[in-house]
Amino acid sequence: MISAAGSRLTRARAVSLYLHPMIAVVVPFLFLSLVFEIVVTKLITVALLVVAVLPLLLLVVGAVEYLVGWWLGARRENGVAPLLRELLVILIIGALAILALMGAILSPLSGLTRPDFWVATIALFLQWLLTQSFRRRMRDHTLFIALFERREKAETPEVYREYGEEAADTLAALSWVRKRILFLLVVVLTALSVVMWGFGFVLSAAEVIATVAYVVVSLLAVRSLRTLAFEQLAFAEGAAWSPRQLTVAAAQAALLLVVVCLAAIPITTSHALLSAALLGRFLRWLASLLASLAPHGAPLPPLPPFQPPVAPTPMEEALRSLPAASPPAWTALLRAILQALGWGVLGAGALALLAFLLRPLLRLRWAAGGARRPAARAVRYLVELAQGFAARLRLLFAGGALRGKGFLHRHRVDGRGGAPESGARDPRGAEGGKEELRARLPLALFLRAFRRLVRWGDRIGVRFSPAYAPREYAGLLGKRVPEAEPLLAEIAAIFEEGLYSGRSLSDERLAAYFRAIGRVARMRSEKQ
Amino acid sequence: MSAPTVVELSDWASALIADVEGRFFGNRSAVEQCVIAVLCRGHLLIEDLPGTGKTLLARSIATALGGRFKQVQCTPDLMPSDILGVSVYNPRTEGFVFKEGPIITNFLLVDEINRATPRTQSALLEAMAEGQVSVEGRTVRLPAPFILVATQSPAESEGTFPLPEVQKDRFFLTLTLGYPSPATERRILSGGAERSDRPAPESAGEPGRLIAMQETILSVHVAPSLARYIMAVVGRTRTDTRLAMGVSPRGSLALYKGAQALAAIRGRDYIVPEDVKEIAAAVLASRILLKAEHAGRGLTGAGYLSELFASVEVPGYKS
Repeated sequence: MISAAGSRLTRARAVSLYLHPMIAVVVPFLFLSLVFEIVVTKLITVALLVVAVLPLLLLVVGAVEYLVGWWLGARRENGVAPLLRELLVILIIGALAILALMGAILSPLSGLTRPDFWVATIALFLQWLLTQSFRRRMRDHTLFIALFERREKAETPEVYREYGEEAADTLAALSWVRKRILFLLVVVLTALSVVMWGFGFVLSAAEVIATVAYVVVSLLAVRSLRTLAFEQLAFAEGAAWSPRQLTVAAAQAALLLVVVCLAAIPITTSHALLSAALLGRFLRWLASLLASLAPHGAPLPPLPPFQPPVAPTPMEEALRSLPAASPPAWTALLRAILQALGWGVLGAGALALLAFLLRPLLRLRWAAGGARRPAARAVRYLVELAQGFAARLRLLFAGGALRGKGFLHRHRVDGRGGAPESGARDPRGAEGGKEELRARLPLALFLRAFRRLVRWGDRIGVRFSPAYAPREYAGLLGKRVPEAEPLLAEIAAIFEEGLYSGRSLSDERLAAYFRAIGRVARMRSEKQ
Repeated sequence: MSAPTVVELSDWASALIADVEGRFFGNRSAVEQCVIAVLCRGHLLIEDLPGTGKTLLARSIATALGGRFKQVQCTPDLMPSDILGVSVYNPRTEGFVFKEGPIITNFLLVDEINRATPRTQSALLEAMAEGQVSVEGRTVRLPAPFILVATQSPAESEGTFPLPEVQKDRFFLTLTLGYPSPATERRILSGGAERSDRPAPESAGEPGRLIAMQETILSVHVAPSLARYIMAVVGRTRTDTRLAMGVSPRGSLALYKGAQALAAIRGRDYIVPEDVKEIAAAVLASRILLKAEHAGRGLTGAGYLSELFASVEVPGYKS
């Protein structure tokens, strides 16, 4: 039996599956392993054989991208800066991982000059861009489906009609994602065909299996996206009255996708490690490096002083007898000042970058009393991060996606107290959970719904001015349609809370907001 | 002891307002604004015609809040030392002893402040701004909280000294009561005589509680967009050619804090644009100075602010 909260969570997770673990990591991994293995290692010189491990590198950095993107993304608010921060963290960690696997972590300059490093980094960046675009579009769909929470069965077609514009947008978003996946599928198959037959190569059994796995994964992703689109149609036709009914099917499709992807990993991994000797060589180099850093034998005797093998020539003698030219003192001072300035600028830049990257940590509030204690916040954040990651792994590998109680449910029980509908004040605790919820505040949908109210106001003759406060505007509308007054007051209160309270709205409050606007819109039809 | 929550503050304020309304009824918004000023550690100027209940309101607020209360009736011959205190010779000890003036209190009602001379009015400046007074070379801290409530009647101009702008700016908000509604006046007539004979009831509060409530106000969240909104409103007054003087930074701070207090009284821990608009007239109207030609055409401070708010966009409607 799936609880309502679990159902919503499952939905969120089912959707997120397209965004991260499998699509963002495994699919590019499968694709790139084949491309690199076939194209690069067979067409480029033998000296670059190390690129055969690039798929493995990409798997590592893809996992980094998943972890960083998930945790920073979940706490993300709107804006360019958080996105940039996420990208920077991913690129820095990803580049370090690539360099480490290349054996160039201690001499990064040598690693930075290699083309395979840049190929991997650019692939990482493109992968992040793709993930972003998927994530943004899928989020609209999740939020749209939230409109159908707690609806009566007969109500859903009407709700669907009311939000026809949003429905069209989310369907377009689903279609966009599906087309991109299909496009990638076509591009990959075409590229592989050209490579294989155009250059006369024959695929090995492992390569064929990997290709088939890639195709299967992509088709499954497309199928799951279609399931989501059908979900909307079910609401539109009144064939369902709760997302819970349909979530199970969507989650099962997603679970199948996960299983296939997990099965594909060992196949492609073994394939990518055909040149495992290179990895072994790297490990041996690493071991020798560590051994040299920690010598345990007796120290070597000091070398004797250097003696020139032959006597100096008269010219050398003359040169040695010249007094050593010492630069004037002011040049040394100037050099020191310039060096200090340079280090200062570098240090300030590094500090600014560090502060920018660590801002999400520093902004968290300690739960007790809302007091700000940076050290405690950082510790709490790390603990939450570790707990959340462990819970997510446990759910993923134990197949617990259908039973899980993630942050939505946890927050509802712990953070919201007992009366979310009454508008009771939330305790200042559970700030981390609120951050996560805030990231899910459907601002665009939220404002669009308010614009619907404004259009209704125009129709009944109350012209909206951006200088009106929301409550003031609701009051004007209420004077014109007195029976709508309580609903309008509720809408204004929730609208203001969403915009100005600095925290996210609970999904109950959001549902009440949309419901109230829907009811007011129905009053319009009675009036006209 | 932890600071009270916003909900506790709201309950406390409701009880306080109800208490004051038991004695000064029919004008809840005026009472609410008095409570806002008190919560923001601000001073209050009540300005209206004689007999509209200015003194009663000030006394009622002070009584309800508890603490020490003193009253000064201003006249042209009132000296600063009559308010601040003076050193008197003690023949027994053959030395001077400082005798505190009425200003050493929690609530000081300065009645008919514009009847005092500018010299005496200025003696209050330091107390209002710094919470201390300097008398005969010594500095005396005033007890916390220190709230000064002044009343004045703008109708009578004979023998009065209008408050200078700098002193008006020191008042957190300026209140105008107006005549009561017929229903309120009927109620006053039916129960007013009894009420005036009745002894002051037990105080509803205590100064320590008020100080804790004042701390709570600071925790009310102000969205950055609303802070910018306040700045936009105040900025307009500084560039408007119809004004001889715009709102000072002290005025914008008062508007910010006043909105926080109003939100807390309403039980919210965040402010909304409505709070800013609602408190703006009381806080800003006395802080702007209309040019004579515009004032002569009947434009008032409140009217100007109303026009101003109708032209400044409320933040948040655009994503």
